[in-house]
Amino acid sequence: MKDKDIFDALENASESEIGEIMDKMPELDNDQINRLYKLSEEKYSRAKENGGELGEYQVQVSGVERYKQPVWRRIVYSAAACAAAFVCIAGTVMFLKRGGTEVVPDVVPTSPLTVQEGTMSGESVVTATDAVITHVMIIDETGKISSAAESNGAADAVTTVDPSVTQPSGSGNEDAGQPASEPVTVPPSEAQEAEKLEEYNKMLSMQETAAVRFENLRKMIKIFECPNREYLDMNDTFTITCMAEDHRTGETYDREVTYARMTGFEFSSVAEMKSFLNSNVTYADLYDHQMSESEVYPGCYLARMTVPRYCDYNGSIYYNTTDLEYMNTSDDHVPQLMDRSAIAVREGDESTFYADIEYFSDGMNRTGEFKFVSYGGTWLLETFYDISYEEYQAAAAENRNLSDSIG
Amino acid sequence: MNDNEIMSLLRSSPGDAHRALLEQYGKYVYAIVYNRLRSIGSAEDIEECVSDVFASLFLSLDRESINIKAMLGTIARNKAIDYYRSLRSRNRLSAISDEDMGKLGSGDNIEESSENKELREILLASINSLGEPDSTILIQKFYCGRRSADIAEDISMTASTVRSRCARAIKKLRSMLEAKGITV
Repeated sequence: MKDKDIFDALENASESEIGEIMDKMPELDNDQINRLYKLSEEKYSRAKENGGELGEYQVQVSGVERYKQPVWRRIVYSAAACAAAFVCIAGTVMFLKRGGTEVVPDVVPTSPLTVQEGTMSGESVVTATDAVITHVMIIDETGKISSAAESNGAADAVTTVDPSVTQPSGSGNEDAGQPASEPVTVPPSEAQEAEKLEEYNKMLSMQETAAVRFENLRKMIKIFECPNREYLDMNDTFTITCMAEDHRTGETYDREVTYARMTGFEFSSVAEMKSFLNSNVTYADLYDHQMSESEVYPGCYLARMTVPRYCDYNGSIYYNTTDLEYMNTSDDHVPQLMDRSAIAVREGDESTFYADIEYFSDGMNRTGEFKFVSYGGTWLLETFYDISYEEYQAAAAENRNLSDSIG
Repeated sequence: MNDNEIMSLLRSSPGDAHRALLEQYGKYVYAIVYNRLRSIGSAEDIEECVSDVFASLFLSLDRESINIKAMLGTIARNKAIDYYRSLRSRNRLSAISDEDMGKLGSGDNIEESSENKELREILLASINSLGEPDSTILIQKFYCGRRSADIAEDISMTASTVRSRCARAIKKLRSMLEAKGITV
């Protein structure tokens, strides 16, 4: 049974059980109370007008949900719509003009193009610049095939060609005198494919970026998670005093906090840790209160409840050991990223991507979601929070092709 | 503010009384509604239902002096059942199992299976035996679905401490339940 399933058993609780659960639930905040008050007042006023009837609950849809789609998709869709409209118009025009000859539409440009059209055997070359050209194949009564170009500004040209030697032309910058060619157009599907490929490549580059940052993530995990006791010299400690609060009664009292010297850690000073975070994390200053360069020293009193996790003292980093009393005492909980776990990149765009990562901490495998944002071309970690293993697996499955390349 | 003060406020300033009711009993009603709708409704559905409960109560308050908490509890349970039905039909889950029929029963007529009740009692007792703040962390994390960072802010701890305590507490809870013959 999954963790959340265990708690499903609490549903349909009795009055007394509700009371027990309620004590552990969060208080309603002011925003919630304001929202509920407004809703409730509206319903009450409406009910008074309706003779005291509140009416049955109905699902109402209101507001506007903004639909986001990539810019390239809008361009491609617009081009496809233009092409479809053009095909309809050109088809109608050709149908009206065909005069008893069977006309088979061949290629239709999607938009005004600069096109050079050549003919076989050094015949005259017609260049149509900034003109929309409709190219048609004409089959006469004897089965001979002719090629005709109709433009909205250039001279019309009709050339008899052998279909077996017709070759596609470039898109306008080829030299005159090249073999006879058809005007080249890019069907919308090809353009879409190209855009998709570009998008895919961007994702890949994000993936590579994430892989490069994998080493940095290892270090971050070690900073954010509680370190292993092996990193701590419990024979070299000092104690300070700070405030604490009993969160059930709201009463404050003084408590002692013990700091132990760190050994063999990734960093040698708090300044080095801060510098690392500044280069890799947005709002690195948020972590300042967790790292003290001079405020904490043996016997000091901090008149607040939040005390730094790391501090500099006597040329070493010391760690606030309060967390350790809650930690698994076994030796196998060195926080680390799993070497073989895939990084599942999700919902990537040009400025954001998510990496769902499996890591090992406190004696167990855990999964977290790391959100990266781009600042001036550098990817910085913005947030990090727990996700369930099921969510991680689902994300990894969705991104299988991208993540398989990461060891 | 006690019930008498709220009733006095109702006569002088109904709007303020309405707000005072929400501040006094909002969490209680929310807990009842959340307990019934958490598996089927969104946060918005739950807030709609809670606001319905208070609007209903406010309509009744005009009439006579009442035990506000008891009345709120009854209205909340009945409204939550109504919403449950409505949400189920919205979700097109028309096939209702026998177990769910029990859930849909109204008020005092609910016939809960003794097995479920026993499981709830054991679960709550086990959670309580973990002590504070672990029991609060577990309820808020798994029952309320809150993020570790938000829980941490409320109980003056770091998010990583909450994560660690949560991981250890859930392990401990599992082994306690298993020891009592509940497979998890």
